[in-house]
Amino acid sequence: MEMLAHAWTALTTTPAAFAAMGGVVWGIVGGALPGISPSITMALLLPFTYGMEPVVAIVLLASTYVGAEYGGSIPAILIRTPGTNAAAATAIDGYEMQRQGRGGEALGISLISGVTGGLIGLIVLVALTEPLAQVALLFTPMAYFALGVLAISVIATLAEGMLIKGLITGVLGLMIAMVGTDPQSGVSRFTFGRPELLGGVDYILIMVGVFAVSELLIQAGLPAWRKPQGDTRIKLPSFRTWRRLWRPQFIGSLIGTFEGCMPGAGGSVAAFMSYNEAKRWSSRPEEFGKGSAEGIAAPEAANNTVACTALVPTLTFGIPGSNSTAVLLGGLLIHGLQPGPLLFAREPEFIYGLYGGLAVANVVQIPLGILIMTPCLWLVSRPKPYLLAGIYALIFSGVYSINHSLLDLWIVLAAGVLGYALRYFGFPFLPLVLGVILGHMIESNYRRSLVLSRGDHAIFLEDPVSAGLLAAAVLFVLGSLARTWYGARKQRRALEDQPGLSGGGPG
Amino acid sequence: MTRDTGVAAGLLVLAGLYWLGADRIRVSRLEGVVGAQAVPKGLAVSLAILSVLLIAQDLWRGRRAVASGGAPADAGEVNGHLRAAGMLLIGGGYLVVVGAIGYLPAIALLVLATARYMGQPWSAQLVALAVGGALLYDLIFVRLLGIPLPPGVWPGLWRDLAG
Repeated sequence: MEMLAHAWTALTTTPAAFAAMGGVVWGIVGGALPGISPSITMALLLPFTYGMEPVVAIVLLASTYVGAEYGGSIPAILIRTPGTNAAAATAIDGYEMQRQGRGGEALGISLISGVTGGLIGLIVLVALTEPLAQVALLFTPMAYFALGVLAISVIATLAEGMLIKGLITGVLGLMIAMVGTDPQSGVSRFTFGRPELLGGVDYILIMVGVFAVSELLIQAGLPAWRKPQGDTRIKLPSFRTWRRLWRPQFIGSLIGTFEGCMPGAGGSVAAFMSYNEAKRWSSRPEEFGKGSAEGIAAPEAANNTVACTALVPTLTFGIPGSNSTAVLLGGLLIHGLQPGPLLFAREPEFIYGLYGGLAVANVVQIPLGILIMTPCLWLVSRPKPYLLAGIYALIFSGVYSINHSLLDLWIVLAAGVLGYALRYFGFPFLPLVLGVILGHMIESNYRRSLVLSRGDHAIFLEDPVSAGLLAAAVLFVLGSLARTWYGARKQRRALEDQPGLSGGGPG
Repeated sequence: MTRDTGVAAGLLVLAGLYWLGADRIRVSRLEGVVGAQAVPKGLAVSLAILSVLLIAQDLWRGRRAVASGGAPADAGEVNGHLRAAGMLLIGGGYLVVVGAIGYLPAIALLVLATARYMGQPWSAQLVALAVGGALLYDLIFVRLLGIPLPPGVWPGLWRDLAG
């Protein structure tokens, strides 16, 4: 009851409910634009959240994530171009339904399944987050340092075969985080005599640059997007159809719950896994790939469940598992909200307000999804040059509004170039963002620990939580190495087995 | 030399420069057991080690003829980089002129230049959209949100002309 009272207070005394609606609309529009991922949609919004109350700002960002997951399915269904990575699985059967003249029905199934998944994800989020956060009460400075190291290691090891590159970008992120005044001694580091850099490099600048500007630079070299044809109206599924969909929705939500709580797994993995499992458990598996309603319900339920459950590791331990939750973590820290148990103890209105805002976002997604479909289709049909020019202008205007500094805009452009280079050379950039965000926490807790131990590094192994987390980090790295080695061996054997390529083959 | 080895060599240089930068951080009497230089130097060493490992990995893969990173860039790829560089120049150009000509004309020029660069042909609609877009952004950011975006030389000029 107390939780409901807090949520009600937050929703009625602040504009959080309106932020939830606004976030959903912005998210659907952003998600519907091919190439503009949920994280970019959120990053574009980040500068505007500076002056907002924390609960309003975070509800706005979280609702954008929710809306973008649905928005991504619109171009996936209508033009077989997923607006988000997670919507790629939806394109398989969604586009087939569109070709059969059932595009409206496919959009309706996507919307309803997304809302179902989102609400189940919200229940899991409420049930898991607070008990898990209590674990963090055991954390010492050594454990917080180890947690930061674990977070970067986990994220760096996710991309198969890119362990070293992932660790390099993590280190680069930490290097950027060193810029500014050293909090302990007060000396300036890497500021090049610029007073604007004494406070460090705002992670919002890195996020906007790496996510949004680098995407614009890439889009500059790509052909125009395909446009949705005709007037498509959403058709919500009938009760009979819905009864057929509960099983794939349940499968999607279950997998989404598991994947969302695992850092780094993300919506796209959950969506494809759900698609496969829904097919396996379906009474009509032969329809998959030919316009199956179940083939849309499962991945859509999964990626919308992830939009809520991905907040579990973010809110409890401060480990963002995806680009979108990294932006959300940035939003939390900007407003002085440190994830962990103290957040639950000190800011109950914020936490329950966030839950309430997410509930509103999921529920209003149905009417808003229907209402804004036509303007959304109109908007995404505008010529790509206009849309990109508008986004470029929005980035420059929004970022300037943070500190009223032109240097910030240069930093954003530089971060955009860095993001572009990382993508081109095949480096994952989430570890970089995480390094920038967690750099201060890692360094300050490292130094605090060594003050406690008078310079003895053994303290990190003497503290049981720290030792456990560091061991987990090592295991992740070793596991990734083993996976890479196994993958290379398999590839080599496959090459050797190909006739004409192996040494012993004919010719 | 493959692409990864080239990048790793660049990162090695960066690690060296970062170390030198860390070495120049002033030593304060306020610092405790670990000084302000310690973590940056540790990061420089980590980057150097990882860069060497990347070179080693690349050489290992190259020896096994698995790597394809050494292939020369095709014309499409080069074109993509040039397009990105052009987009970056437009952004840089905006930052250079916005202080002098002010936000409203600069943002109109930014929209115009970006849309034109992305292939939108010259038309009255393009110009109207650039001007209309700039007015809309000015309304949102300057009038509604009260953000003091650069006014340019115009206020001073008006003042001089007026009196």
